[in-house]
Amino acid sequence: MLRYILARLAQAILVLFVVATVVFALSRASGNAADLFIPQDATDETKELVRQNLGLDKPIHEQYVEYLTNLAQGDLGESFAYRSDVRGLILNALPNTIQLGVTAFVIGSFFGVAMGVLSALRQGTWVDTVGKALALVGQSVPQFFVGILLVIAFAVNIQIFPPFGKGGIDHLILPAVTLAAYPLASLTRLTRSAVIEVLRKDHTLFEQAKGVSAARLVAHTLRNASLPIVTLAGIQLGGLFSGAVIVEQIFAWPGVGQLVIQGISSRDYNVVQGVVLVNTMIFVLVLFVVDVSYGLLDPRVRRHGRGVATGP
Amino acid sequence: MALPLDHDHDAGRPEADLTPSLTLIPGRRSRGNRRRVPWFSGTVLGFFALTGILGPFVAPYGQQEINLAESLQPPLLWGGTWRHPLGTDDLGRDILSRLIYGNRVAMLVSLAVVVIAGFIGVVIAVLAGYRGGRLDSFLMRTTDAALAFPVLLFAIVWVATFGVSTRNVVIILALAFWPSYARVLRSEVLRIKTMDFVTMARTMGAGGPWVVWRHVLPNIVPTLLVLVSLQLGLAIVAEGSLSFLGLGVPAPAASWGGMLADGRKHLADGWWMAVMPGVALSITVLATNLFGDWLRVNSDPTTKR
Repeated sequence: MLRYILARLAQAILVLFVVATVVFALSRASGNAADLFIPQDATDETKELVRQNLGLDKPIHEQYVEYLTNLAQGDLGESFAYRSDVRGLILNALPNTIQLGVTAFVIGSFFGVAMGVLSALRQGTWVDTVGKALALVGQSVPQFFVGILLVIAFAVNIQIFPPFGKGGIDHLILPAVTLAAYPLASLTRLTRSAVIEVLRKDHTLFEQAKGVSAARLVAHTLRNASLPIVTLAGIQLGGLFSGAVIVEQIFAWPGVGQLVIQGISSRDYNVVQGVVLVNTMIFVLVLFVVDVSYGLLDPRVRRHGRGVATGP
Repeated sequence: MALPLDHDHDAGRPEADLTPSLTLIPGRRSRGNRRRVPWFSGTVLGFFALTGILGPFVAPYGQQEINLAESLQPPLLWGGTWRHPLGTDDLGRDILSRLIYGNRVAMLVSLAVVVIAGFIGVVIAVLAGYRGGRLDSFLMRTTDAALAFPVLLFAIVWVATFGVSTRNVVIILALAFWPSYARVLRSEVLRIKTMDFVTMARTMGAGGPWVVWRHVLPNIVPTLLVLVSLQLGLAIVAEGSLSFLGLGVPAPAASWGGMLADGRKHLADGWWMAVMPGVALSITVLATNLFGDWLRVNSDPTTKR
């Protein structure tokens, strides 16, 4: 198990390293890297000063080593628009995004799995039809439109939730539901087919013949169907943080998503780069946790140190 | 998918529940609807394709025609007039016309993305699947890494570096979408490679390129078509999301996502500004998804009755 964890950890670090390199390479490949980091209205003297400070006049490999060293020390550089260091900005915004993402994840996975199980058990009845229809619509309606519809319905027409901003728990509900909609729909679909697959196995037939109660049967079925469900939930959780960019934009939620979009419009490259790297780190971390939890859920993975294929 | 921008991870997989043999509570067997013609999705897609192609000829106004005297006119059913059946936006631009122009953009972008990504995907799939060996494992590692990485993060870096343009949207999405094709098609290539007619061709002295061109490629076409139809919907949503964030098609050109973003400021006094493009987007995506599902079930001869 330890070897398995270490191998996964090495893989995670490798991905992080590759992404950092790609970000670096892109910024240097864009022609004039200095223009990315320096506000357009700056004077020539400032530009020259910044260029020297950033070391843009040095050879490319020295810049790269310096860049990686800074990253390894957690130094993400300065923001020109905010005149403060990027790490502080991200650390301020990150808790808001995590709050939003985790709430959405809880809503999405709870209702998604519940609806999927219900749909599978009542296969062919109206419950199933409703579940399937909701899943299909939930996967077709784009997230930003879901959010806008929710605002029109629950903040403009029936004014029970505030339309935007951050505050009490009432501010959290609309953004979290918006963010949860897509994972909820795909988890419903996946759980439904995973549970149906297990229900068809011989051991389920045997349990039924033995007269095991429905509740216990569901528990056993879920455990056996849990691998694909956990995989998808993990991928969704990793994706939630980037999905939050859109939702934060709709609801003016002060998270890292807002920060990065503002960073792009004010050409604040260090902020953009910092957010992308931190987001990648979170994403890689989540995938790592999911991989490790495989080992806990499925002894076959633990023993052979081999993951189950995650792709289609 | 995480969010709509990301790949649908169960895309190329057949639904597992077509013929239920054992259910906990015996219910009605799901009716086989395989041979049925996809009227709804076909009509919707045909309609959007037609208006997209005819664009400037059917749109009553230009996409940038500003008329402040007629700003925020409601749609026909909500007290509007025939002059602007779907209402106008805050600058008095006709929403119907802008939807038609936006449709054109969505179509062009998603088609370009699907073609480019499909091409890269097929090349990688054939190289990896047919050659095998170390090249295969290297290409598949790369594919997996690209598949796992969130599209939006990549888009953010790309736009921050190279700026906003429609061409950049196509590049971003093509680079983001090829791994799905490569993954699914590679397993198809592996399957076809071991089939008797391929072995036969090889024993008769056919070389690699010949086998790929005459036997492998024609046989992955059905799977490719299904993938394309499913990815088309994803590409449309992705273009919409990027434009909504201001990372996609630059203003003032009409794009559905951009129109939705503009409508955000007028949810209280002009809800139609956001709802009309949202509905257009959702219906199109729903139709492509349904059509893709239909194609998936029908293209596989083993599931036909």
